Amino acid sequence: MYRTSTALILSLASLAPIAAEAAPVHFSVTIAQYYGPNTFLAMYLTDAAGNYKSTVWVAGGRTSYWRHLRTWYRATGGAGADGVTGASVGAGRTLTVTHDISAAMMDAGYVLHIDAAAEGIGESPDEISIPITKAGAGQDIPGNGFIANFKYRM
Amino acid sequence: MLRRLHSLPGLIFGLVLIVLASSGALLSLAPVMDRVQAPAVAGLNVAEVAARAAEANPGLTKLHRSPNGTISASVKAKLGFQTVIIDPATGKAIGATSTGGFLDWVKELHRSFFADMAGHAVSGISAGFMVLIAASGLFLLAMAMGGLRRITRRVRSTGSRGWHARVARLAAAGLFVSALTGSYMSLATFGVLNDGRAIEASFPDKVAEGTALPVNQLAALQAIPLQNLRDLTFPAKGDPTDAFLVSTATGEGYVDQVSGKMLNWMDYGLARRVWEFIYMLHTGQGLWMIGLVLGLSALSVPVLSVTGAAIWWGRRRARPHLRHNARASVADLVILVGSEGGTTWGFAGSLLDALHKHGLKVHVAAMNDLQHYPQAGGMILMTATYGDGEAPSSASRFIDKLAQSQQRLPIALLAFGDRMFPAYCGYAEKLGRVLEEGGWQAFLPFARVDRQSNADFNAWVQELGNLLSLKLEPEHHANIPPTTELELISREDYGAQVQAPTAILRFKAVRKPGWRGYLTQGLRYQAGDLLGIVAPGSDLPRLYSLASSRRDGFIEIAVRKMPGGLCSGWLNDMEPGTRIKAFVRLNPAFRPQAKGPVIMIAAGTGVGPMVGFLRTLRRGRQAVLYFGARDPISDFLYEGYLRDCLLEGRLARLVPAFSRVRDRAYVQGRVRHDAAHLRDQILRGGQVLVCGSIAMARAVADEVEAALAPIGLSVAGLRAEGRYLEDVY
Repeated sequence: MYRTSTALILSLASLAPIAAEAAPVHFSVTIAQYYGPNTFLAMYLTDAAGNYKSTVWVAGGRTSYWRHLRTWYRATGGAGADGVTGASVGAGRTLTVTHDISAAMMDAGYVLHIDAAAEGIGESPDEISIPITKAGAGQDIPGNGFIANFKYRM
Repeated sequence: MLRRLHSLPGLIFGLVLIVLASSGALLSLAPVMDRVQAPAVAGLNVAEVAARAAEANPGLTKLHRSPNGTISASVKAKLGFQTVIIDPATGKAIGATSTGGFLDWVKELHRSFFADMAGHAVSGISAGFMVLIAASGLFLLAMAMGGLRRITRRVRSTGSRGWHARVARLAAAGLFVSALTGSYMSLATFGVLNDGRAIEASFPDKVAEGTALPVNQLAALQAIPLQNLRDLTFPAKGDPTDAFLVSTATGEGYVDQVSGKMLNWMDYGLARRVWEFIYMLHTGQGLWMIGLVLGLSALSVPVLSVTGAAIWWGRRRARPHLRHNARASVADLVILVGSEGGTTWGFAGSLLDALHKHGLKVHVAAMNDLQHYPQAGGMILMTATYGDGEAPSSASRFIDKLAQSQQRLPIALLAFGDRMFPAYCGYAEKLGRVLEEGGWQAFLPFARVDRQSNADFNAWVQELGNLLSLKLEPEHHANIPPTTELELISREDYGAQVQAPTAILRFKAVRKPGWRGYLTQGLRYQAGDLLGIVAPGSDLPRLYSLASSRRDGFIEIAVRKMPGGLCSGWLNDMEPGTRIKAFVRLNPAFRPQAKGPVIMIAAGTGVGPMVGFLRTLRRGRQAVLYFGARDPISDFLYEGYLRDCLLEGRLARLVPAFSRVRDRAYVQGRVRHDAAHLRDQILRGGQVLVCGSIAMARAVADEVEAALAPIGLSVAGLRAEGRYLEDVY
């Protein structure tokens, strides 16, 4: 059922005329089961050259802890999180955020990164690092630290 | 005002504070567990320990040294993280951390109720109010005990009030520290206070290129002794542009993977050191004993919340609804009330109703609400005393307000108190002196009501009625506590031939069917406590001293039939099998001391509680009983039992005095005759217990005073030490 619907969306997408404007992409992160404080997350994009481009979302309001979202914090110093900040995510919960991705960024070497950390448990810089492609949409990506599963839909 | 500052936040934040304190108490165990697990370290540096740990634990991302000395490692496993304790000598994991799992969950609950910044705010605000509650509570307690220096003395209050005070003074210091440090930490989290935690080393602009050195060869890490380490974060795996981040108590910096040099070292500074100290105080990290003390103190919060709410509710319920209360601007007469627990309001209310029946407009208010009364011809002050002669809460500002008042109404002062306390009616007496010095006119002489005695109150109301030429009949609706049903199981009669018919009545609690029966069984009482009984056709409970304790399994009182006495007459005519409703009022101020000789002096039914005490006293306690009655053949109450006590050694001496026989004698005469013996007993730490009429107690006190004079002691001195106790009626 799931596969068919994905296939259906893909076939419809390939038939549609290519839109020049930005289209919303939904990013879903499911946190693994563990005991302890909620997970802080930083989701951000780098371009084809590997340079920081923009912050998609920061989960966790306590800015003093942001430095533990290491690769993101190294790139931004905590800036760029304006208006894209929400609560930290509890174990087993799923966070879904929507971000506009322009057509030019699609299949153009842009990579979505996720840093994850939780106080007293650990830091997981760059736990997810996945190119944004039309073909990759809807695929389940497992993490290896705090993230049980990641995927994006268009 | 102070009281409201204490109770209002307590009521609002009670539940949150219970959660905060209980979780805090649990968390105080963490440093202790850490300490148990902390291995001995000497002469190790960070580089060698980090290298060993990294080798023994693939996936190591971070090392942390707790202030208690435990080294823990955060290890990225196949899925998820593990936090393990590391043996610094081998680098191997030797166990899971105590801070993992359940305690982490508790910590998060404690800090933020799992609600991120909003939860942090709730925690912080509650901690702030806890400071207010603890500080105001300490003031209130000091006031109640008669000064800060007396705060360690015996608490006389009973029930919720007593427990609240006892628990609070034990825990106050701990709670104050926890709340204050918690508030500080919360303010720091929100950036209101500078905690120096914003100071952080910036990531180096450039790192050396080349092959990463083995961890144990990184010079910057070799230079840090293990005991100085806070955190060591390893570079992301396979990322040559990353660097180590190391922090100590004094600062932090990045360590180059390739060159091993310290880059961008940053000193934390003073604000951070202050934060570290306060953090240590609050969590007990590094000060595990203090942590435990704070944890134990925190356990008091549920008790304090519940008893506090009970006290608040009791006070609220005690304040009556004054239906006929007139406005201040039209009142003919003003009644101002100084009350702590609220009982005095009940008396004011009944006086209001009695005066209202005669068409008088009477205004009743708290003494603190003194204002201008344009129509009033007089002012009645009815006031209790708080603690050691302090003003009760509703009168705390009265003397100041009175000094500023432009109106000089004639005043009648009626004092409510308990003559068992050293400062009997102390505040009212002080107020009386102020009025006298201020030249205020008194329209009735100063009078006292002892332990809410209706007889005292009614006598005073009669005087007021005579003055106003009104027939006043106050119906005092006392607050009757929940009652228990009792059944009379036996009675013994005495004294009919000497015009003092007296019955010793023995009851048992009627066990209700089903689960409610367990509640009935919970009736707690000791000899010397008071049994309150409400006779049919009366609203007023009568109090009788109990001659038995809970462990005796029955409830016994001695009741003399008073001429015209509604309740005593009813009880004296009662047949076994009859059921009554009664309640127990605790009287903890009247109990024999745990050690040393006991000198009991009683007359008439006053022997009841003494018999109750004898039932519980161990043998060989050197108890002496002076007992005054009328005629040995008629009203020698408990004669058989007392003679058995002599034989068994429960009583060392029994000294009866009879007033209706040929060599008439009174109990005070026996005391006078026995002065040398009495002095001896007192010098050996003896305690005097007196029970009987006021007149008898007064005569006895005079004789004891005279007997003690040669050894330089006084009744007042013994009273202050709790060694001269009276229960009089």
